[in-house]
Amino acid sequence: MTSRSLRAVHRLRWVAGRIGGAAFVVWGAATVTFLSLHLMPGSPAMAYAGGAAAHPTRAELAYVSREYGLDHSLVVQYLLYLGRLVRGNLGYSPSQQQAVSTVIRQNVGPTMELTLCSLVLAWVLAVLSSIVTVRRGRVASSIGSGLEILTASLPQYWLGILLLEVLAFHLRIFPATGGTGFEGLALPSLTLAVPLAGFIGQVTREEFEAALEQPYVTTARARGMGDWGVRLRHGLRHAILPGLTMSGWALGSLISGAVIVETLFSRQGLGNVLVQGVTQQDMPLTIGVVLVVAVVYVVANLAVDLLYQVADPRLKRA
Amino acid sequence: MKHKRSLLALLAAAVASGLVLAACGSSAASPPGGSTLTSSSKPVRGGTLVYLEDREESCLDPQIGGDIPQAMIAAQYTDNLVYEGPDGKIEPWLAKSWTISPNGRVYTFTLRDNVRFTDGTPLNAAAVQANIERVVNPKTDSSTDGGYIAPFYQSSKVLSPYVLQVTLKTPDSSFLDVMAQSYIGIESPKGFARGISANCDDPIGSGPFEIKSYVPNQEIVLVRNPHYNSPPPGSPHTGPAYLKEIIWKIVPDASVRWAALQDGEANVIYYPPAEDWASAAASHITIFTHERPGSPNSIILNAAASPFTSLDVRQAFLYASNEKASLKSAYFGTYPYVGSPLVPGTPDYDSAFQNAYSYDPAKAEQLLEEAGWTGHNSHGYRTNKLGQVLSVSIPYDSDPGYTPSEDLTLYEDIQAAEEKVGFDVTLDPLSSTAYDDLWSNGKYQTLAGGYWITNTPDVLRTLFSTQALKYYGTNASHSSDPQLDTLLAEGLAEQNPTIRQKLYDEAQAIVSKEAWILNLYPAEERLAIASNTHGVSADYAVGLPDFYSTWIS
Amino acid sequence: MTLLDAPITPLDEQPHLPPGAVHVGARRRRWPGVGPLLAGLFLAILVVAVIRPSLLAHGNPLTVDQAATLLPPSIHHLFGTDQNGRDVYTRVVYGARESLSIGLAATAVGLALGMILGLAAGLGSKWIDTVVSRFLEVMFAFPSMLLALLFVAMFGAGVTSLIIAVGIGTAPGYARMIRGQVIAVRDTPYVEAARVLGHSRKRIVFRHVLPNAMRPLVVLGTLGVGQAIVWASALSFLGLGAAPPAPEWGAMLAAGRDYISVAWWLELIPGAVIVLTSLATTALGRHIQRGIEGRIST
Repeated sequence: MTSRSLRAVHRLRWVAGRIGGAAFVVWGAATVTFLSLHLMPGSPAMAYAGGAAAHPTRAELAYVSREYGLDHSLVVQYLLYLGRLVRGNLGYSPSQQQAVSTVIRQNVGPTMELTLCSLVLAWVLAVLSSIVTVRRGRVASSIGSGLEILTASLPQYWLGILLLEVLAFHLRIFPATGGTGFEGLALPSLTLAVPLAGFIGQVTREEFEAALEQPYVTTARARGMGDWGVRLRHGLRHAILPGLTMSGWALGSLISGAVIVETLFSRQGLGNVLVQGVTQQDMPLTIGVVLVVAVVYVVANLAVDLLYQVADPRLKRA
Repeated sequence: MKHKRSLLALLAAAVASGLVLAACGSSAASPPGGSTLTSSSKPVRGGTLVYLEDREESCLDPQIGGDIPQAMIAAQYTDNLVYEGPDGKIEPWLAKSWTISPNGRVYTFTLRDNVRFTDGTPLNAAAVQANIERVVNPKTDSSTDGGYIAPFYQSSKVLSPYVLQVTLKTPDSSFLDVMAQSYIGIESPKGFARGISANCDDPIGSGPFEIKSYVPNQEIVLVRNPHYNSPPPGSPHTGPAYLKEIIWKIVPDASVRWAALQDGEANVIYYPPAEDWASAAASHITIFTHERPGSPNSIILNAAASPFTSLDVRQAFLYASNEKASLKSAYFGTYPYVGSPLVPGTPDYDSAFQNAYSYDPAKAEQLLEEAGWTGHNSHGYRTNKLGQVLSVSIPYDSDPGYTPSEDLTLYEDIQAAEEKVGFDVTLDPLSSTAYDDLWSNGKYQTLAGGYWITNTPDVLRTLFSTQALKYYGTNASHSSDPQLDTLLAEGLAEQNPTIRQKLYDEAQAIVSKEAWILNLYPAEERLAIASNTHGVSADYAVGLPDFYSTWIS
Repeated sequence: MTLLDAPITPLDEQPHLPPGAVHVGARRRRWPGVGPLLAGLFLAILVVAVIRPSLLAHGNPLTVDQAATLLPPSIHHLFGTDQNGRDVYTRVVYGARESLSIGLAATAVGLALGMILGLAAGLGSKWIDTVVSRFLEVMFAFPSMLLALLFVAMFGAGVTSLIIAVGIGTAPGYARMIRGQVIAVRDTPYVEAARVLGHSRKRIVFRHVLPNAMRPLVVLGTLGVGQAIVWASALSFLGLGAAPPAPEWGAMLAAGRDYISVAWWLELIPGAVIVLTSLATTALGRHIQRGIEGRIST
């Protein structure tokens, strides 16, 4: 076997391992949600029926028990639960009076739209900050890194309120109720993107600083390439690639933030639904959303890892 | 809107047990409705109205469950069998006439024969029958309508395509009042056939608008019913609505609703924040309020739970609360204070008790001393001989749709005032479900946010009688007073207005003296309307926004 | 590499940085010298506010005054008054105790859980390590906010619930760092040498591995408190934390939100204090981290 095909086998094996790992994690997440239903105070039948406060009748409880197989042993219940999940059945939400999967289907799009838009925006802001301020003298550099540290510690709910107050209520640049399309996406995305840009900026700044010291940059300069050209061509490329791996992590952070931002802006989405599920003690909805988000998150991280493997041949695994 | 779901369920129980309640009616004393802006210009056809509400419907069909937001949306897309006029009189609507048998048990309705649902099916006797049979069916889970009607309902019969006969088990003088409420707007049976869940998302009526799309927790889009021909009596115009479309959005945050109205993103908003009323005129915004009769918004004291088993402690709590000044401060003077057991405008209201418990901390301290709360702990809270602390928990629903920030400010002011005389008061935010649970299990010292909308003084029997305590589950104060019971029973039966007034005066005196509730302010329908929006009114039965004759200039 | 190369996020877990992505410049950047000093000063003031708030504010954070509601900042009311006429400055000072104790308690819960898992994995058998590591992988599948909300959904809202929820949300991150640290220390030549010298396993663990592995916990704890305060205030903001009229900063923000059009200070000031606290703990944490870095690799 040539070393080339050997490497290909290694890589394939690595990819298979990553996919297997992700599948394991998804199974684990499903198990955690199942356990959470059974570890909480009160009977699972009650939880499925919307909690004691929903005053389920004896008949309703009996129905729920039958529907979810609650009169079987825990192991059987667990297998039934997994079976339902495999078929895409996440149960029925008492507070929304709809199948959990329907609620999620209606809300997953807006949340993805928000998080992806925020991710891109955060990257653009972070890279801009780096390009403009890195190695531009002490003052510019300090301002840039100071801003990054400051924005990174802004709580989203506070930033969101201030943006709403200033940009929507006072200056009236954006609609207060969110509106539709781009207009409605702008403020929530900005709210999520600014603190994230602070974090990403701290990483890209360091990468960028390091990249600008590399010999090939000096060579490029010697060949008469302008400062901006060097920054864009060489610095940026090397700064972005390692940072890209943060996107998987950033997605998780954005989903956490989306819970707050969607509530704050009364925006449709999984975060908004989740908060309602929690406050209304709607366990089927809560665990359904938590599980689906976990799966999306795992898959996204897997995708980033695989893409990274493709994008950066320097990286040797296995 | 703060009308508790559990309250509705309790109300249902009350009706079930024979209470005569013309629930949620508006009285002649507080005329709502009419055009809000008497503009001389001619109504414009077309246009989109954006309405911002505070709470989610969760199901657009008001016959399922039955919460106020559902009735609000139903008022736009359904008509009712009968109409409640400004004077509380029942008038024809979908039923052009009816007869009631001498024994009060058989109602024979003759329907208009030219009304169709927006799905094209005729609105006939069979359709109305399907609606009634649906809400009395326990499987429908119609807690409001079913609660009102099921206990009395015996059978119904389609005598001819447009004549329906409904037979009750026992006479129910509130039957027509109930049928006038949007909670039982008449819907298309063809829609029912799709199942409860599908009908929740896209119910079909015969009203001035129809549901076009619905995204839960976000927005409902309604479009004009181009064939509308059945407006209620007294409507400013006939034929289809002026508006082409209504975008009905859920925006829980009051300040966002207000900003949207100011920006011109919305035409009408529900429950404008009180702190912004002062700036309304400057922004050419009209504030529209409609006081609802019945029992005022209050903090209920549980006479069966320590320390409120003692009359002295209850009275002390009321004397010490400083609620009048607090209400003015928290609501920026936008609510009138109601200190009496009944809201002014409720028949037989007696103004004598309005200031029965004016702020008097010295009196409160004296009463607490007499009640045995003589000691003080290290925090300054009162203790009794057994070493118990005079602690009181005030649970409230943390959903801002039920407890707006102004209410919370009010409760915090009351809490601080009570602490001055030695009550150790904690405010307990609860989820809606936990709060409802508390309502029904009775394990509370107080409950914040209770009120009851109805247009008869008989609400006192619903809330304070032994009968209500034992059988209806509507007596949240757990009060029981034989003398009061007698007065209320006599009042209900009394036909002579003068004698009845006297009986209810005495009853109000007892309720006031017994200090079972800390009265605060009347329930109100509150809207803020942009200057380009005209002809917004409220219906008389429940006080819901009515956009039929609304137009935008 | 140090474990804390990655930025600490206020609301979320550590980035999953594959080996190739470690940013080498971390140690090169220097904070301006005044940074840690200012951070220390601010935290010192906070500590005073926690221990003896009456030294900083004379009033009572719960005293209402209906004649003085929603007054803008002035000499009499440095940070203005709220909708109940309470002095916002006094509330912010007294709120330090509420917010910091929630932050500290939540960090303690997170660290304790993290230590149990991290130490078990790092010191236990390979089998235990595998189980714990797999478990952590699963927990990392849940964005922290979701983990915390799941806990609140199970056990209800309130301060205790909030502390545990935030603790659980942060625990997987701590556990992974502690495990990594223990393994790193375990494999140092120094410990290797002790092993060769025939020291007992117990002695090696307690004398060498634990002290070295635990040292970064000071940093983690410091950074974590700021993080936990922001977290907890976020949950309070969603109405799942401290009950009114407690002057907890997040609850103050939540209550002030409806009044923003007439009283900006109710929103701006408590939020700014949260941001400053988070910044100060981050600055101080990183300062300590640099101090430790030199010693740890011995």
